[in-house]
Amino acid sequence: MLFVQVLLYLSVAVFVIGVGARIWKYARAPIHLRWELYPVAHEPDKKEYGGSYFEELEWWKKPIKKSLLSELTAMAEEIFLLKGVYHHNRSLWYVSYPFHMGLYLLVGLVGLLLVGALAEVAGFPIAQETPHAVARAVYYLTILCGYSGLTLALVGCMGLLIKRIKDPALRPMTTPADYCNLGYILVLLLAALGAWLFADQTFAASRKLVASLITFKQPSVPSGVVAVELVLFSVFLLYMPFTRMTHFFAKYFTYHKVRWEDSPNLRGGRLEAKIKEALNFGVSWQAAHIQTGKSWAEVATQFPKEATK
Amino acid sequence: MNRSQSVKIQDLSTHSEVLEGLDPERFMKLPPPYEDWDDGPLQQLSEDRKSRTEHSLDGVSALSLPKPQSQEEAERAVARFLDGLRKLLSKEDNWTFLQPLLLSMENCVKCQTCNEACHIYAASGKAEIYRPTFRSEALRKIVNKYLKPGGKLFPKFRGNDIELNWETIARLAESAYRCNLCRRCAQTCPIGVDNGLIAREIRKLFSQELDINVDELHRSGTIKQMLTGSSTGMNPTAFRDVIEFAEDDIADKFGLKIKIPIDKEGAEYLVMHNAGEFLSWPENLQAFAIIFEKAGVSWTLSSEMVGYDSVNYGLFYEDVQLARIALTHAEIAKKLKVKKVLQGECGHAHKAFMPISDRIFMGELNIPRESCFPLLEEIVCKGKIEVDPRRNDFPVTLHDPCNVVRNMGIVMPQRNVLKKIAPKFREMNPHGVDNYCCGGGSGFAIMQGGNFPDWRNKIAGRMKFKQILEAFQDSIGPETNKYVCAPCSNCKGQMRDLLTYYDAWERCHILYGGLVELIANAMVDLKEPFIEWEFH
Repeated sequence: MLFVQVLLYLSVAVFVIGVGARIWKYARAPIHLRWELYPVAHEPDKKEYGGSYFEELEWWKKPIKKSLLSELTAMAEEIFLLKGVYHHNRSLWYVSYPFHMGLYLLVGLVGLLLVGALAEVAGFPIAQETPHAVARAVYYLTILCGYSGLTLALVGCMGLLIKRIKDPALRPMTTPADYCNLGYILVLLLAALGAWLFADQTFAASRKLVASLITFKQPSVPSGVVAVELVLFSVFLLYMPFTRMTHFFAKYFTYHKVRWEDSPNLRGGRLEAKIKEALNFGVSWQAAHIQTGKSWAEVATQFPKEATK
Repeated sequence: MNRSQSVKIQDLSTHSEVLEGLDPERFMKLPPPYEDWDDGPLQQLSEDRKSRTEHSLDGVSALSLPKPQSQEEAERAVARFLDGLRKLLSKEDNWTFLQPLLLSMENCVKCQTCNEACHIYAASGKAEIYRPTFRSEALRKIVNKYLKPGGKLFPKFRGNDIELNWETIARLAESAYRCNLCRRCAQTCPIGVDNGLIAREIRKLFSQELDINVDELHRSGTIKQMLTGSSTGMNPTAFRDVIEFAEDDIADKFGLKIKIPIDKEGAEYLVMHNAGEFLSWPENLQAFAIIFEKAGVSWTLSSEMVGYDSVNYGLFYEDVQLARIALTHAEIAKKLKVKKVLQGECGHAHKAFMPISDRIFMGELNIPRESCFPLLEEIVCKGKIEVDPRRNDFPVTLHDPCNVVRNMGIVMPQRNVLKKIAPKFREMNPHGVDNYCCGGGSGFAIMQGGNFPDWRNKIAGRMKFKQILEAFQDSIGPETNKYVCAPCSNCKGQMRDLLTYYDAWERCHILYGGLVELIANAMVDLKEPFIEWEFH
């Protein structure tokens, strides 16, 4: 099963690098002009109706209040309840919510398998009859996360697939690749179901496999159906960072760096250096009124005669 | 192509007279007394104009884009479009919006949650081409196919099945002017994707690279403003005449001798109005002057070129002109040594000069900027002027300018004023940050070419008109005067056209105006009512 082992290492590496590269790209983008959208979650007193500090006279003389708690609450509602979809697209929420919750629980499963594997490597067996309460908790939580996550994800995935096929608003915007992505996830989930039911009901084999991987030992794959599950999972990790499924982390940027980004540029403040750097970028736009070849600072302060023609 | 056939994004490249025709039978229905309102077919362009200009998206021409005279010319335009697209995605050429653009381009999951939020899509009877995701997805397909490595591999399977030709770019350019940039769709997007931003970026690409833009916004807009002082063409001499006229008018009508301050160095506020007010609604300027005089506000106007016109249409279509005008405004404020700049009742000027340009102002040009609404709230609600709400004893509803509410979070001050001065104030539904655009946003209100105004009234403004009718259902007949408070110049321009198109003054006695006119109307210092119930 060297092939499976190598594939798993490779897919995890590609996943981490792929996701990391996308995060890096977004994070390293230069400062942009303000483009916030209200309500802004961290407004402590005005969030409910979407107000801002612009409602205050001489707002720049007052400390800008930001409530981390409000922001965390809004994020939690979005992540764990899919609040936006619930309010604006209820019929989609009925299938999207179980799908996403299922995926969260399956991510939790991977985490618990890792914790369990580390524990077993350290000499604490994860089993039903272990004397350690924490180890027992990990054992049961793993099973709970696994099966509940898989059930929800399966229901949601099938629902999403049916909705994309049937819904007249979704169908025209859905490409064959979109159907394939969902179809692939469905096959992966079904393979996982088969592997767990027929070869690894308590996740003991999966835990051993993770332990082998983290200790760089060749894993033993209990059956062909588990091997299929692992190969499908690896391929999913390989291509996922290059699809729109990256919205799971991009959402951090769309909310925190755009929608809720209301930091004012105060004189002598932290933003000035970044703005100065951006104003020195060169401009190569070609329309006559632009003045290509100059810096943004020059272009913005000079009005060319060509523009009048 | 008729409406029974569903238009697909890849159809943008097809050679057809009109991609999707509009059927008035499918337009959103209106409440009483407009249940039987007959819009009639969309006004057609003249045959001459059809032969010369692009209108192949929906039969409407916003850009008056000339058709290419040869295949070579068309190919050159396509090549330049691709060059512009590369620049749109580059750090140097588009630092201003690169991060939001990349995020919106790369993460839409096509869930279509945004569709129902769009007043244009809803009012048109859900015309496919007005779906908020339609143009965004078209742009994504082009980027994926023509700019990304391997983009032409398995194009149908990956959804990159779009051909780039003259028809595609011409329709995409027109399509960017079927969105009010109100960003209501973005507000509902669970991912945070912003189709309004993408529409603006497409406008920017065409303007900054191909010099394709709307005349009213560019040549007769920002360029004229830089050359003459105002997008209205008003020069400093004409501006001074307008101010003199306003002073005389105030004296004649209300017996008040008010000297409107001009170029007063060191004033607390440099007040910037949309110069369109001076010509179309001079009562707005007069109401501000009366209120500030009575409240003892230290203020001034500027008579310097560009300084007396807060308009910045650059906001609607490109960053360079946006920056030039914003910096000119800031320079004028600096020279006048005012303590702060106050934006009058103009939504886009608020947004352009306060948050958007915030990140181009450096050092002394970074002058504190305030909205008029908190100041008016302070004046009215803290008793700096005496008001009698009984003088506004008629139904009033508030139209929220998108740029002021959803894009800046200024929601309550104007409401607090109305609660104090208008006993029959009622909200539209929805309102505040969830409001609908008036249909004139992003420059539409001033775009008067071809059949665009007809489209604007029938489609873009329809949802707002529906909201207005719903707000006044308890007294919808013409026997009751009703007032739509629209504290924004562009919104007022749209209200004027919308109420005229639907004959709403004659049929329902619905008038529109700003907030300061209502405040002045309630002022006990004025012997005569400020508001004249005549439609203009």
